[in-house]
Parts: sequence; structure tokens; C-alpha cells
Amino acid sequence: MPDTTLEEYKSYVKSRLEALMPIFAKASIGDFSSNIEIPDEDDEFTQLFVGIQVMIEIINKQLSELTQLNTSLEGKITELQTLFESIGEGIVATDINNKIIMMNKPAQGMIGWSFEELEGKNIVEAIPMVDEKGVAVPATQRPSYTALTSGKKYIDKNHFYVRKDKTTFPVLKTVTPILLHGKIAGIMNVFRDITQEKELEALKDDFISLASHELRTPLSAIKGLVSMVQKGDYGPVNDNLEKPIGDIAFSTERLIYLVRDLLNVSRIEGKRILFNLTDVSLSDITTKVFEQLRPLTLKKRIGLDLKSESATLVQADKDKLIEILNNLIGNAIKFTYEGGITVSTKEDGEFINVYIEDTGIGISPDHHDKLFKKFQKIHAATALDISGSGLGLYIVRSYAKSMGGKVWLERSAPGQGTVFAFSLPKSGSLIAEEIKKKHGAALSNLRMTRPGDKGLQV
Amino acid sequence: MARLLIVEDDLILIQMYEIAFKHAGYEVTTAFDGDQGLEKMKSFKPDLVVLDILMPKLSGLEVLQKVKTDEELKNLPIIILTNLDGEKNVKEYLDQGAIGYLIKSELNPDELVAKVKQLYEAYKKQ
Repeated sequence: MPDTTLEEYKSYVKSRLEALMPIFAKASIGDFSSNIEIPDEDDEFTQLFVGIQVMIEIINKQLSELTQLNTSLEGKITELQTLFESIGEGIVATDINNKIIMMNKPAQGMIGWSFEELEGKNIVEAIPMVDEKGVAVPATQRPSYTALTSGKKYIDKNHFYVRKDKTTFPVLKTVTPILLHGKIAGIMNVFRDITQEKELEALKDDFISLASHELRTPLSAIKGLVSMVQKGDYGPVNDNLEKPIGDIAFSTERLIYLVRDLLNVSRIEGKRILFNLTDVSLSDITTKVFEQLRPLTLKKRIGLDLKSESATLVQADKDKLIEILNNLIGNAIKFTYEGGITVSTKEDGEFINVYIEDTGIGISPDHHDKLFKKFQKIHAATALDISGSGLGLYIVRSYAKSMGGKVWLERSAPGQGTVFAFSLPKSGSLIAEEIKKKHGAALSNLRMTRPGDKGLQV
Repeated sequence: MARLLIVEDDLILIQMYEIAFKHAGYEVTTAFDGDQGLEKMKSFKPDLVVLDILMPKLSGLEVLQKVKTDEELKNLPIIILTNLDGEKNVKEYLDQGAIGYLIKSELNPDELVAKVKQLYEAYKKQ
């Protein structure tokens, strides 16, 4: 159009562009449905119109893809939400500040608060946790707090959650940090009400305790009567009856030991065992145990010696220490047929180690890692094996551990004897003080948790 | 010889203990529950009582508490003989005034007689 004036050209451009206005108006509200009419005449605007039409078509295509994606995402979210709600365990998710961001129905059911009531609140304040005595667990000791600060997973089953109505329930809780691109983004608290498990546990302990006590009455009668028959309290005993009556006495004694061990295990597992920790002389106690066991070593013609360094004051419960020594030295005697048993002590930092060395038949390496488990009997019962319940070393280990020490197999091989060892904290050492404090707390716990006991401590 | 009252609800055990103590020269009488035990303490007037814990009617602990608050009986020495061996028990009964705490299944009757004698002698010396 060479002859047109500038004014005419301007109005021509305007009129051509006006055709686009309705399209832009619709696009501004998200409607890309109208197509552009491409004019017949071919001029500078044709390219622009075609371009815009192509753009509209591409936008339309992508929009419909997005809509589809959205629908399938919504489906997935609903699916995940349904799964989340269907998990039988309570789940509370928190963010990096321990604020509650998600909570499933079972969690709401157990705690009594709805998600709406707790959303955005700090879990430590929103869901209080208490110990057996009803004392609140300090915020910094809450599993959700420690998991957040340490980045480690925690499992806790020693505490109670407080419900909205202030009642409590024992809770088993697994706390796992939520990692997002390698960084902690929050905490996943998964928990369950374990009232029933706790009740069953207590029932089991009570049953074993009661059964053990009930078993002891007839056993005491058999033991007592047999000993009186043997002594001739009921008249002379024929020679041919001496052996069977002796065997009855021996078997009864074994049963009594077995019942005692079972009772001890039940106490250990029910955490109902008291440790009266005082400063005791290892060499004095060992000498005392030697006196009790001497008849056995004399009978077998084997040695029994003590090699002790001067400072041997340890912090221990005297009776439990006697039981540990009795058990380990008793075992050594049982499996030694020549040579003898030597007990020695050695200082080891805050501990004193006690070694029980024998020249007995030894233990094959296959059995080494089973030794301290319950009901493990490595050797068949022998005639001297009164206390062969398979519980001895298990009890020994738990006693040593409770007193702050440990017990281990130092070395043993078939035909080359055995060395068992245990350690106890030295009197006055830091560890000794710590253990003492711990037992003080446990003692008051024990009194609190069994208020129904009328002097029947089992 | 000393007059002894055994309070024990198991018929076989009580007969066994009775024979053992009679052999050792004690003058023995028996009671089968806590109530009867308290009665016989007043009627038989023993020098010494051997007392079980788990019994029908009055338990050993209740008997012990009654004895210690009874003007007539409070100085009567009482030895607990039971199969309950929890350490808390031992302490509780000794705190309540028992002069000894013995475990049935750990002692043969002759050993029991010796222990009772030992505890009684020690008590008399006080």
C-alpha cells in the first residue's frame, strides 16, 4: 500500500488488531478455546495471526494434559490418604520445629484430640508424656526431640501418653527422622497402645512367681522328709533303700534349684529384683564361697586357689556377688577332673576384673556365643550337676550388668581349660556412684508400681 | 526345754516340723492358721513361735503385727519360716520385729532346728 497516508495506515493496523481483542480478553480469564480467523489477504499480519493461533493450540494441548495429570495426582493423594488413615498404628508427623503437620485417625482416637485441634502445635506440648510415676518427661528427653537433634531413630516403650481427658496409656513408640534431600525435615512418630501387652507380661511374671512358690511347699516336704528318713528319724533304713532314697534327695535338690532359678529369671525379667549395693571385699567373699565349695574340690582331688591383688573393694550386692562366684566357680568344679581352679583379680580402670580359670574339659568354639542365653546347656548333666537348669549364666550376666559390670568368656577350648571373667566397679569410682543413683531411682519405682502388694514381694 | 508353737497351714510340713522339734527336745504345739496361732499364743504360752506367711484367715504379717501391738504378747520371739524369699519381705518382717527369717526349701528339718536354736539363744542373750 504505497499510496496510503500514515493516518490511514494507523487505522488499518488498528482494525486488524481489533480482531484479536476478544481472543486476548478470553485468554486473560484462562479461556483459550476460540480460534483466530486467518484473513484471506496476505499481508504483514498474517504471520502474527498464524503464530498466535499455533500458540493457542499448544496452550490448549498442554492445558488438557495438565488437567489429566491433576486428576491422576488427586487420585494418588486420596489413595495415600486412605492408606495413611488405614494404618492401625497412630501416626503423627511433625516438621523441623516439631510442629504437628499430619495425624491419622488411629492417633486421634488414642489421644482423644482431633487433628484440627493440634495442627501446628508442638508435639511435646500438645501430647504430654509421663513416666511410671506420672512425672512429665522433660522436653529435651522426649524421643521426638532427641530424634530431631540427633537424626537417629528411637524406639521407646517405657513411657505413657496423656490423653485429652488426662488419662494415660503405656505407649510403644518408634520415632524416625523424615529425610528430604538428605536433610532432616521433620519427625514421623508411629505409636501403639500397649496396655494389653503390659498386662500379659505382668500376668506371666505373677504366674511364674506364684507357681514357683506353690511348687516349693511340696518340695520342702519331700526334701525334709527324705532327710529325716535318711537320718533314721522314722526307724532304720534297709541297705538296699539307701541308693534310691539318696537319688530322691538329689533329684529333689535339683528341682529346688530349678524352681529358684526360674523365680530369679522371672524377677529379673519383671525388673523386680533389688540390689543392696555396698562396698564389699572381693577376697573376703571369695574366701567365703571357697569354704562352701571346698568339700566338692576335696572329693574330686582338685585345687582351689585365690590369687588376689591388694585393693579389691568393689561396689556390689553381697548376696548377688556370692551367687555369681558360686555359679562360675561351681561350673568350673563341675567340669574339671584334674588340676584345679584359680581365681584371680586385676584392676582395670574403674573396674576390678575377676578371672575364674580352670583346667577342665573346655568349651568348643561353636558354643561360645550361646553360653549366656537362657536354657543353654552345653554339657549333659553329670552326677554333680545339681543346678543344671541352663539358667545360671543368664542370671549371672544379668546380675553383673545390673551392678555396673559385665561377665564374659575370656578363653576356652576343648582340652585346654576355661577362663570366665566378670567385672565390677571399684568402690567410690564414678561408675559406682552412677549405678548407685540408678538403683536408688529403681527402688522407688518398684514401690510405686506395685502398690497392691501386701508384703508379698515375689 | 523351750515351749514352741508352730503356725503353718500345710498339714504334711507341720507334722514333719513337729517331729523334728520333738526329737530335739522341744515341747511343741501346732496351729493351722493365723487366728488359731494367736489363740494358742495366749493359751499354750510358748517361749518361741515359728510362723508361716501365706496362710488362710490371718496372714503371717497380720499375726506379727497383732502380736507386736498386744501388751501380753509383744515380747514373744517370732521366727518367720516361709518359701517367700524376696529381699523386701525379709527386711519388712525383721523391721516388724521378727527375730529371724528362714526359707523352708533351703533347710532340712535338722538344719532348721539348729537355726531356730541359734536364733533363740542369740535373742535370749540380748
